[in-house]
Amino acid sequence: MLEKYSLDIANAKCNFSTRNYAFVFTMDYCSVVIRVSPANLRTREEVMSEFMWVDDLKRFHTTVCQPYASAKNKAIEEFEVDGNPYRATLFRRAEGKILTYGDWNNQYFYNVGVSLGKLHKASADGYAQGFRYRRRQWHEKATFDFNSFQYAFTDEIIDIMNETKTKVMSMPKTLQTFGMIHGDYWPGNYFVSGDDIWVFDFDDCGYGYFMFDIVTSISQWIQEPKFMPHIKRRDLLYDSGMLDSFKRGYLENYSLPNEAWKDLELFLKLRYMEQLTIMIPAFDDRLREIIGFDMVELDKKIVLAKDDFYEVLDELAQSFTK
Amino acid sequence: MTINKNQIGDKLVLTLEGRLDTTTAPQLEAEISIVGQEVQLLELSLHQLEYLSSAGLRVILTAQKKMAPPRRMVVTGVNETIMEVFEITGFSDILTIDKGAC
Repeated sequence: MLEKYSLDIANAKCNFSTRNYAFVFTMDYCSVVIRVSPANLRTREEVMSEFMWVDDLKRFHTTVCQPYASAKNKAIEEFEVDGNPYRATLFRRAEGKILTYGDWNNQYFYNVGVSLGKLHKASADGYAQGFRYRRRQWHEKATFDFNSFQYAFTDEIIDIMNETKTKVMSMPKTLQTFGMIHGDYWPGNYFVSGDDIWVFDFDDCGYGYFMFDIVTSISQWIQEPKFMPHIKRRDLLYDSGMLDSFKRGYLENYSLPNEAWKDLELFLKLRYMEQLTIMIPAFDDRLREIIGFDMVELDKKIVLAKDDFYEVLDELAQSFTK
Repeated sequence: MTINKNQIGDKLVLTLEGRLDTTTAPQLEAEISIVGQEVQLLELSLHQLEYLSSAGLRVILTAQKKMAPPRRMVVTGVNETIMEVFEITGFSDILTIDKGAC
């Protein structure tokens, strides 16, 4: 497979995420990543769609990690290991590094807003031009199939989550508010190099509300208990410049209507619900130790708190000031 | 990428050979921009095209717009690889593709 990319395994560093293998090849002019996924994870047309979408985004957003075809001009290379089929895709590696809470400031929030605004602008433009990718809609993702998590949650939690999902599903889908989104735009999926935000991991891309990408970052920033723990989370979002800075950068690049911003908190709740369903199969003692708190318990409390979810986040932050 | 041109009457055939990507898309764009009003049918022959990126798709779209009715554009010689790109981007619904001419 590597011959098809003219790469040498001796120069590779391998990482394994929850779903994919990523082989990083460092070269003189740039670094690339080969993502190898089990073929049963996504259909071929889904992976091809991701490739073509990111390829198109790159024309509008210079710090998107563009995909490259193999030396045989194939967007996807397919192969088997021990009878198991895999698919490989090559991307440019992001420059810079993930910023953690100690380095977060309003300039960073602004830069992330710029990056996401550009991404959504490119997405809306592509749709207007006639691009229709074969990717699923947001509510078709397994993480939003809340009823399938009945083994893990009480009926009360499931009901609240379904109610929120129904509210979001009933919202109008307009060209300005709905389109191809990254689908997992959290701070772990972009590197920061100076003022540049290098976006990668489009594995979860699909059709959804642009607001969903927006809250995926914001939910992480206000959830992080070590980031300005003495400030109440609602104030952190609205009064400390976080949202204003992000929004300024975003709106300079894409005109998401004012109406859409009014639903920010509804989407925040939905994002915490998805975080819960993502965490359920993955959360263990090791993750608890790394994160410093029990995220599953936190997300359950957030769901149950309904509109008072900031208070749950406040409690967590206060526990870190102590 | 190589572009071969062949005009017979009001029909212009552009045969693309190689890769139509970010680097070569401007080449096709330049050819499209000089297509005159006398051309009523533009045929893009892709049987020798090995790779098509989104930049290439956008230029094909520009050509399609330029050849709006009563003029026509038809894409011919679409191999399996290129057809897959048209299908997963929705272009198979936008373009007039002559599947018999591969």
